[in-house]
Amino acid sequence: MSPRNKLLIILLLIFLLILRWKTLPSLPGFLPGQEVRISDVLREEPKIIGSSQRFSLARIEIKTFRYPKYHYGDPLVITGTLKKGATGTWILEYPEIKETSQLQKTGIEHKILASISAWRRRIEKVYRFSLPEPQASLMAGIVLGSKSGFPSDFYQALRQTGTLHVVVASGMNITLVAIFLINFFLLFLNRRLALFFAFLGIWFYVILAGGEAPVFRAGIMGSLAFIAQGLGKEKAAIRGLIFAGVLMLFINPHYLFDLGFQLSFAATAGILIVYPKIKSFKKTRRIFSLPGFGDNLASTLAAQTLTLPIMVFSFGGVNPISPLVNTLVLWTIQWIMAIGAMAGLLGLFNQNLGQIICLPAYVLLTFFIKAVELFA
Amino acid sequence: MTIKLKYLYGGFALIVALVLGAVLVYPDQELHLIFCDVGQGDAILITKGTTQVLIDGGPNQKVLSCLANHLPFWDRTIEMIILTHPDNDHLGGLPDVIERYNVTQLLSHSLISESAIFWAFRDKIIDKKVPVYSPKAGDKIQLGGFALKILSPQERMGDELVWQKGTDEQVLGAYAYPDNTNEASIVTFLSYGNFDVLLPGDISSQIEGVIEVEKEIEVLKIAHHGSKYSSSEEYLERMSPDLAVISVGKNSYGHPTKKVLERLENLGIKMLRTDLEGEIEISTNGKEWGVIK
Repeated sequence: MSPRNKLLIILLLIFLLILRWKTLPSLPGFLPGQEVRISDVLREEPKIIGSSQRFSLARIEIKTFRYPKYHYGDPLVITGTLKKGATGTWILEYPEIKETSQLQKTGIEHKILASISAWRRRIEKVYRFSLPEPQASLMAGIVLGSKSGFPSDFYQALRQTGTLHVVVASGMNITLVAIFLINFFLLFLNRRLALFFAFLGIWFYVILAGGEAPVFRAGIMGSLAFIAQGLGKEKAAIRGLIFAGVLMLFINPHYLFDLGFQLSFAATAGILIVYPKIKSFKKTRRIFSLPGFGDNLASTLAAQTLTLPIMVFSFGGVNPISPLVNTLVLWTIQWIMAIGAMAGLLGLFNQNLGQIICLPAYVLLTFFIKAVELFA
Repeated sequence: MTIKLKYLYGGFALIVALVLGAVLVYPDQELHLIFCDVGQGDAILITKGTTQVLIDGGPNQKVLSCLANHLPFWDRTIEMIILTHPDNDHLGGLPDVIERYNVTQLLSHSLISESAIFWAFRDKIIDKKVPVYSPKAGDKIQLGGFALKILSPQERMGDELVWQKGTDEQVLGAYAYPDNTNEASIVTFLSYGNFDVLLPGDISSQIEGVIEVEKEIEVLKIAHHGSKYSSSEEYLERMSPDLAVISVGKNSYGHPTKKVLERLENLGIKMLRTDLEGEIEISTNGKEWGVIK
């Protein structure tokens, strides 16, 4: 492609983004203290924080009591008085919530999403039944990206040591899932069919993991890589990442100001661009090729090189021990994911079987927790 | 090293570590009485070997950390849960406990409370088919080497039918908790050798007046987080425990009240509070006992 064509394409993309931005329905204009009534179907799994339950409905943040528990797909009617939140969002605290039968969506895509979400809850149940806390939450966080139900002191410890990213389903999970699925399907299918089913599997996982920004982006990127591979073209991961970013901004331009989106984009870019440079840097090559340790240190440093400016800008600093803690614990992730996936799936059929499979992961999870608590 | 060998060695190392860990956390032979640090509320755990009894679950999931710290990781069975009464600060954490552990027996009144937590709790009990027994004064329970005796209420409350799936609204409506749920608290007397403990839930002085204990008690849980309407001077003097424990956290009721703290001080009763100490654990062999620091 000539430089001129490249420039044209970039300009076109920027133009389309601006167009999308301009045509986006703006945040509903309310007044603080205004009485509102929202009726909509819940499109996310509420998070449990302490004794409260939080979710957003029609772009309004809802904070309510722990019970009754609401789930993905529940049709709700909420009445309450609006408050303005710290980040400029609208908040309803402990409003009146009623389930309604009039909103029941019967579309096929809705049914699929709701049942995948129910699977997720059942897998989380297997972990909670098999492991104590915070091991169970950590397992659910690593395998499915759920951030619900963490003991608050442990959540703080993860944040302080810069290891919170492990409980966000993201590129790492997608890569592990993809590699596993490809190898599995290749056992009895030809390459094209295996890629196709792995592609379906990835999107099943994206929805299972709650469809949040990082896993969605990783899903798009992973799929693009697969399509490129399926068509016989070489993997162009960096282009895949940029394409995934642009695509997500089309879907929701607000992501541009979403810290999670910024961080995951920067971290992935760091791994794709900076990591190979670190690995090939002559003077330190020996450190970064230490077995089981060098790779993790290199990838953590690479990710942090590009996330550092964002961290400094938004939090006013970054924890210097973070690369150390990450290096210490990251090797456990692939093992925990493998054991967790197996335990989760088999546990759906037999809870005791799930528990037995979970036990070896207990050792790794405990190691992870102790390491994080030591440095917090 | 080939990939296959790596996984083989890795898996082997994991299993060795697991077995070692399982042996390391094997419980000792003492009875442990733990007042969990759950903030404003009650969650009291009794453990002896692999037998556990949990009395109330605190207001939220904090009780899970307490269970995780005191149960060996491979023991996912709690032999008995006692729900003294259905107030939020005693019941709030229990739905999570029921979901995560096998519970052999629940001791609770068979009455209905209107709170959303209660219905979530009832759903979980039905879902996991936990057997429910509604006790009355005089009931004795022998469990793993220690004994529990129920001292209040005098009569069984409600009908176990309310814990059954499909029991219709009208039947349920007939078995509602009285307005003052505190007074309905299940009062438990724990005995292990010469070590005796009174666990009276949230009862007030009125019920305290009719509580009789056969033996001298070593530890008394102060009723209702140190409310001034409980723990009368007469009652404290009659019980004269060696140690009083107040399970309390940040609250807007003024718990523990000055009055109760003064009464304890006047009688020279040693006192520990979970809001100041965090978790309070007492360990005993049935003869000697002590607070674990």
